[in-house]
Amino acid sequence: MTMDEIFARAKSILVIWTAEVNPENLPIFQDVVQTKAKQASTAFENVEMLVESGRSSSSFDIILFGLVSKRNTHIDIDILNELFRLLRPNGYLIIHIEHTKQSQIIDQFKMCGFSSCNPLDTNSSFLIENKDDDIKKFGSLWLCQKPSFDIGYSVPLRSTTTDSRMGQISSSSSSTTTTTGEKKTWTMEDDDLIDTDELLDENDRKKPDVKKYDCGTTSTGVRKACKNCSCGLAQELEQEEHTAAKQTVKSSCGSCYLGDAFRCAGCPSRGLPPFKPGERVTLPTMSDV
Amino acid sequence: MLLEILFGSQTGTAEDVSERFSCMARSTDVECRVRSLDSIRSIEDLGTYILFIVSTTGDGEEPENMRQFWRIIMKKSLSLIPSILSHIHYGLIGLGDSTYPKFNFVAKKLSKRLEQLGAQAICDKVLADEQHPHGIDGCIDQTFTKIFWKTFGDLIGRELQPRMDQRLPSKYQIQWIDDYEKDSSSSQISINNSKIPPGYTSVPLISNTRVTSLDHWQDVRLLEFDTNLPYKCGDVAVILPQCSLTSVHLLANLLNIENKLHKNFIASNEISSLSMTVLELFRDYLHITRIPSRSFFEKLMWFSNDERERERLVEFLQPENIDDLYTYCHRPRRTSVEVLQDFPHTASCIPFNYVFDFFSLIRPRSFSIASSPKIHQNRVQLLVAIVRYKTIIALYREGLCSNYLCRLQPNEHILMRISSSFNLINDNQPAIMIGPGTGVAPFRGWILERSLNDQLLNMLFFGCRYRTKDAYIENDLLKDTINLIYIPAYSRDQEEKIYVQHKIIEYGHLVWEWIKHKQARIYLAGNAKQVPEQVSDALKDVFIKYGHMTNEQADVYLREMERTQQFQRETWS
Repeated sequence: MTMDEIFARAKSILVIWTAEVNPENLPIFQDVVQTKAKQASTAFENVEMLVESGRSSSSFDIILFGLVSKRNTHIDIDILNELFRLLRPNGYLIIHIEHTKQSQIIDQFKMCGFSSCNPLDTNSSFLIENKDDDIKKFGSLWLCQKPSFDIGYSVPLRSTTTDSRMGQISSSSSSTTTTTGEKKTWTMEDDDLIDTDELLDENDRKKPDVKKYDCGTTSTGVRKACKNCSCGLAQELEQEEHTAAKQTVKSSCGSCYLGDAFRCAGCPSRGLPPFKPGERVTLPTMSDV
Repeated sequence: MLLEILFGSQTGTAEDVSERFSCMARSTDVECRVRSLDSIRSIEDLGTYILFIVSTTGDGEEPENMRQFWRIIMKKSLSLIPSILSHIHYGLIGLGDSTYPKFNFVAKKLSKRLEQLGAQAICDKVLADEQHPHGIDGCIDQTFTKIFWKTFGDLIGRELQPRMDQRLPSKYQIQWIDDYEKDSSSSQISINNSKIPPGYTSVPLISNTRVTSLDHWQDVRLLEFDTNLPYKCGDVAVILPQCSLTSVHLLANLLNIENKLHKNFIASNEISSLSMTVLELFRDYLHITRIPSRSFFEKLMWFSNDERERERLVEFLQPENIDDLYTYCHRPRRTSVEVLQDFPHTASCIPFNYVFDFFSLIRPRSFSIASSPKIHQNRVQLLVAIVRYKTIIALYREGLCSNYLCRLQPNEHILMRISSSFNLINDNQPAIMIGPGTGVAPFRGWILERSLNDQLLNMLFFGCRYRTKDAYIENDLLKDTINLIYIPAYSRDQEEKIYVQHKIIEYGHLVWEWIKHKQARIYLAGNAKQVPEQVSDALKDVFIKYGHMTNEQADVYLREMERTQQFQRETWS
């Protein structure tokens, strides 16, 4: 929709102004807006009174924020949330933002739930006639829209009938069918099953004390990396072990050429595959592994 | 009298243990049958003497091949007949890892349920733990094995002396096929024409791009495949990896079978038969680079005739030396092929037909799809973290599937099928997504897809280590056209560690606003170890602080959200 269309269709518009605005400018601004928005009634609110005035939700098609004043008006999350609440679904917020503050403020818009935030071209300058030139030069008008579905207030999640559980998932959602039935998908039939969590008592939920495992030797191996270690701990641990082993006395047992199964802990060849006595093995390059 | 060994296995560990107990049973003339639990169709299928071997996977869940059985045994209506299983005598081995919060939950729950339904335990169950100094096997042998065979023997009126040192008949008989149609050169080229298992499609790779910076230790890839296989966001691609040709040749060499690599054979027994070349067997079918279990060493004893090697094997297998075996093999993650390298004389004595007894099958791996069928037409994209690390062994330790994918070149084909997984609900409700690391994969495609409708609200908590090194999602998702509230946690960019759960608390006011007033759904994807618990705790903190709840109320609220699918999680181990 073009800006003209947006204004033409609007039924109610809210203009937010600040203390620094000369009150005489307000009716002039109203006229300007009214020319474009012939069907609309226009309300005015001072930003300081905004939250207090507690207007009803979803009551405006367009909110014009801080456009009347020469300088830009500060906006924060609380104000934004309130503006969001006041807008009808599909309603628009129009605000002028300094370029340097742009990304931060747009982020805040998104956080509050505004979608499609877009800068406007200067055809809409009728809205910022009052602004100082340097403000106009170093900022842009932005148009932000509130999404169309009705974001209602809380609905209790807990329900006593099984029907409403299905009702939580809207009718347009994908069904939980699987062609292979492999992964666990959750169907009404699960009602047939007992709650398996109830089978467990406090003791079951406790983890075993790893230190109590009898390993039968004095090996410690406390910090152990998991099977698919991808965090680097396995690397770390084994490097530690390798360097420690290398520092022990060089073996003179003569079995270095056999595989690790026959080597001593301190063997300098440890970690290498077996080789022919007297020859040193070179590792295959990584590229063909 | 039949001992049924029923297993629920996700990665093959429980299946291995079943194998081992089956060998023990056969060695002492106990008739036994090994089956996965999904062969149980109804409660009547359960026989009198059962050994249950069950793993716990992911976030306290039962393995896939146990899901059907779970629904049977946990049916409410069974509770009405408390003596329904009173004719059953069972042993129970649970496999788990105590670094996960829901350690062995499946075994614990099954144990309670069997008790509820009147089944009689032959002996105390064992909850084996990966974190035990000697791993799963060590744990089981220490507390369960002897007692089980003793009391089971008492029960059936026999003295049972299972031993692992007597050679058992091999699983398959082998017949070589002289193939006059194929000459050896065409069979070398025909690698891609090998049989395709049912359900899978051969799919070519388009690109394989590293998305973490080169100076980062972790290598994460974005892989793009060309396929019109239908899928939706939240689905996983299930991939059958191959072993490296280097390993294949090394094994063939050790078994003295290099001259037969391209020869076809038929392997058969009473139940099934299969046919392929030796190369295909070692590359596509058997997991030859798996870390061997204890029974691998026990079977090596069946064939060893070299004095030095035999002596070492005997030593390794003695109960008092279990730590040595563990230090040699499991701790440094030594592969089966590497073990055979150290025992070359023994290896050369292994008859070809016994390879099926030594090696288990390659299992497929699942990866969340990171693309959207609407945005990336005819494409499947995956985000894969390559598992590669160093132990005392000179060659790097590598994850089978991740490294298989890492090596792929454009136009090479892989075997893939699509499976449902995450139920990402496509309606108007806002989505709060929590996806640290490669957990972000399903959300990547979904956010891009959802952005086609600029009315939809999206919030993403992403965690990685360094903003400049592994924040790979930012290139894709931080654009003007994408309607997204993006909240990153760079854990190592500052002195104190910052993770997604900290950010959830920091933005708690917003999270609460979305949940309470906008009916947002929460989706969590990531590693099962720490993430689910910490995120749940963070969410509860948010409920307490902004929803003014007590601890108990927050607990109930979160559980209710889970029950109604307002909070969903997909985690992996």
